[in-house]
Amino acid sequence: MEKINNKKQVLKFLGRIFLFLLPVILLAYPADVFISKNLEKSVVHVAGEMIVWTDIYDGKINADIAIYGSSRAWVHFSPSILEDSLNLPAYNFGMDGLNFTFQYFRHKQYLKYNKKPKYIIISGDLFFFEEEDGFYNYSQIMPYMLFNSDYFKNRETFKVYNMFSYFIPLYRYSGQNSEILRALIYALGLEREKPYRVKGYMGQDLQWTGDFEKAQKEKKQIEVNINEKIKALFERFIEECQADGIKVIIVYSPEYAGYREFVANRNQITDTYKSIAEKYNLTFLDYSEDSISYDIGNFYNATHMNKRGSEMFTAKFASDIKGIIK
Amino acid sequence: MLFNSIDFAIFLPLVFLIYWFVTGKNLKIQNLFILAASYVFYAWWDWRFLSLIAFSTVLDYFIGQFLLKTEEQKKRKILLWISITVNLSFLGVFKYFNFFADTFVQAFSLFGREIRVESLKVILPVGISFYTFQTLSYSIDVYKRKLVPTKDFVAFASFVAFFPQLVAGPIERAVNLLPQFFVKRKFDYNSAVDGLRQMLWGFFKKMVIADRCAEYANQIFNNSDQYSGLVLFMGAVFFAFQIYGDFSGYSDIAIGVSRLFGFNLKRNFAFPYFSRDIAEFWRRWHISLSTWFRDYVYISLGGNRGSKIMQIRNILIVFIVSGFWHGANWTFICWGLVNALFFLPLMLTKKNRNHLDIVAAGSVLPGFGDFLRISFTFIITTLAWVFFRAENMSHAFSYLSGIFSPSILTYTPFDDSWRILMTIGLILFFVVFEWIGRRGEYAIEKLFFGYNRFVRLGFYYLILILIFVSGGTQQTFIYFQF
Repeated sequence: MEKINNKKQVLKFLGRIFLFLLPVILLAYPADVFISKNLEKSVVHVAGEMIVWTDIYDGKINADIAIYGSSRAWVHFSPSILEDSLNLPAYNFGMDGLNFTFQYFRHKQYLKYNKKPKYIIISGDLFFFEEEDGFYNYSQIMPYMLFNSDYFKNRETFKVYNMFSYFIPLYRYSGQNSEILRALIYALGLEREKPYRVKGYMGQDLQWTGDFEKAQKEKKQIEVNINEKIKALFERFIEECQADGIKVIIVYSPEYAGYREFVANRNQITDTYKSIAEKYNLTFLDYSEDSISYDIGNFYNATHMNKRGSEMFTAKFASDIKGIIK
Repeated sequence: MLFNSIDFAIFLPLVFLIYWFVTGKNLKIQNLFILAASYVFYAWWDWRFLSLIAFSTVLDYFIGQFLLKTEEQKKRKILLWISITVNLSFLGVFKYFNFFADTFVQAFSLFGREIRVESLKVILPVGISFYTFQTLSYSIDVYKRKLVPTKDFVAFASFVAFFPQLVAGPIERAVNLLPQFFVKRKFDYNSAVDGLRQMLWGFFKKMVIADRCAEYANQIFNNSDQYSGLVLFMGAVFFAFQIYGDFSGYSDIAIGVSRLFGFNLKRNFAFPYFSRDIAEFWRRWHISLSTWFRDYVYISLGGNRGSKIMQIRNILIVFIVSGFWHGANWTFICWGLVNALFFLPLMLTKKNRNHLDIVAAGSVLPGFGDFLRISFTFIITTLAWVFFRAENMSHAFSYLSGIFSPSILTYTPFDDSWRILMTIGLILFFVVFEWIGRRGEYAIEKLFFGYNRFVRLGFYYLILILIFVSGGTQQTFIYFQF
């Protein structure tokens, strides 16, 4: 008799827990959709990365020239200058702080939902082939990853998320109060800021920050590892593009001249770009010795040009590739 | 396995269902299942150290059996010392070896002699100080004939490894917990609901208060040379709430989980930050450890008997050893010493038992005097926490001198001011409900009981939402390292 009572009591307890959690279960998915839909419309969240993702998933990208790379791509290549000069629509897919593994994922998503470009400009940088420790700006994929098999298949790339993030509504938003707050701000119509990027680009109206001098005080030189898997992925990407009729151009945009000695194996990295370009018969344009690199007024730190520098560079670059892009 | 992890969110319901529906018919099987679940819980962190728990369990089990059969006092004493020596040796090797080796090297270098002692690159087994003290208390109680040793090995092993409190307490005494393994457990609906409620509050304390405060405490302590005195003091206050939320949150979850399985654990915290003097604070903070030291160290040393000098010696020893229990660093020893120095004047003037009941037991708000006493006790406790949190002694002293500098009135703004304001708001929310519920076992035990049940449910949903929205980045529990 006692056993039956025990079981009855446990079942009653479980039933009450279920009833208590029922509203949470029922509301989890709509709440997730509410946060995601509003977050993806934010024009300032995660340094404007949401704008690019949303353009991709809305199929709004109509570009013949696509620019790939890290933050150097994002702040160095102005699509509007390229468009004016080349008369071809352009879009900048530069991803702040992320290497080619992430860029490749974005590339696949872009091709899946949009018309393919004719040209892809690869903006090279010294960390392009280096393995990431984590996932910088990891919240940029939050609105899109739930029940999304593309993201789940690539979960090795997004290591900060565990597998529950892909299947349990709201789970990935737990503790992410910046994201929830930003979604609410957008939903309430309180987001008044200007879009952080236009066609993926935003010139940085900044002066030299002095960060490089601070870094030099901490370390005399750094060495950057080339990850063979990332290099192989990059080669696979080129082969895929060539098979698809997309022309790839590799560009090393200007960096502050004083920075060159800071990376001990800089030549090894630029030689990697050169050898890949030779192997696949690609154009490789190296601007690291360009006159822009010698004027500190064109930069806000050692690897990033400010608005003035980037506009000067994009104009020069557009003129240089006129013969290549027809 | 962390309580605040998805692993535990799967583990707990599974264990609960099997415990009541599959193994519920047979007490021995149920105990065996608890033992297996507890070992899985521990192995989730590092299975290799299960051997240490198993060894301690076997050792103290047999010491207990031999003590039962031995009447000769001398032999009994030897058995007890075997238990104490072996258990403390494990603790010594895994936790204190490098500390003693480094101190030894530094002491010799003071006399111009350079010696080399190899450091052991060992991982500190999670919770070793907790289960070591738990098994030790068993041997000591059996030796003192306060407890009849059990012949049921499975029950004893389950008592040592009981997963809710295995890695961070409360440190249970065999006299309280062990008998519960011999009684057929009956599912008590009300007790289980109460357990869930306590778990909810524990998760709030850990994931909202402790983890959010940790972000600022870490930022300020790790860059203490960049902040003004006022911000340094704020950093110490954040740490005070971090450690309270972290540890008392863990205890609340542990007690709540135990209730789901029909066990009652000892209370470990009783609103310590509402204490009116440091003696009251130590009666309300980490009660299972304080009473352990009181019963097995302080009283063994003579307690408050003997001359004043002896009383002072006993207090100093207990506080310093208690500090050292927390970690192999001079900062912990100093933290213990500072608390002893706060405590001694009260003891010498016989004012250490002035405040036995909770503050303002019969009123809504404290009187002005009590308010000042609570504030003063909180401030000195917070300053003492600086030693606990600092990386080393010079960091602690530079941090404290930073607080007591002219910049004590200067505020250095943070980048994300809305977030820090939100954290302060959550701390205030927490303090208000702790105050309201201070007469209970835990803050929300009887909260809104006189109201419509939907008000109460609404409050629980609010706590759930706060945990979801405001939970800081997932962090391990501080006391795991002890």
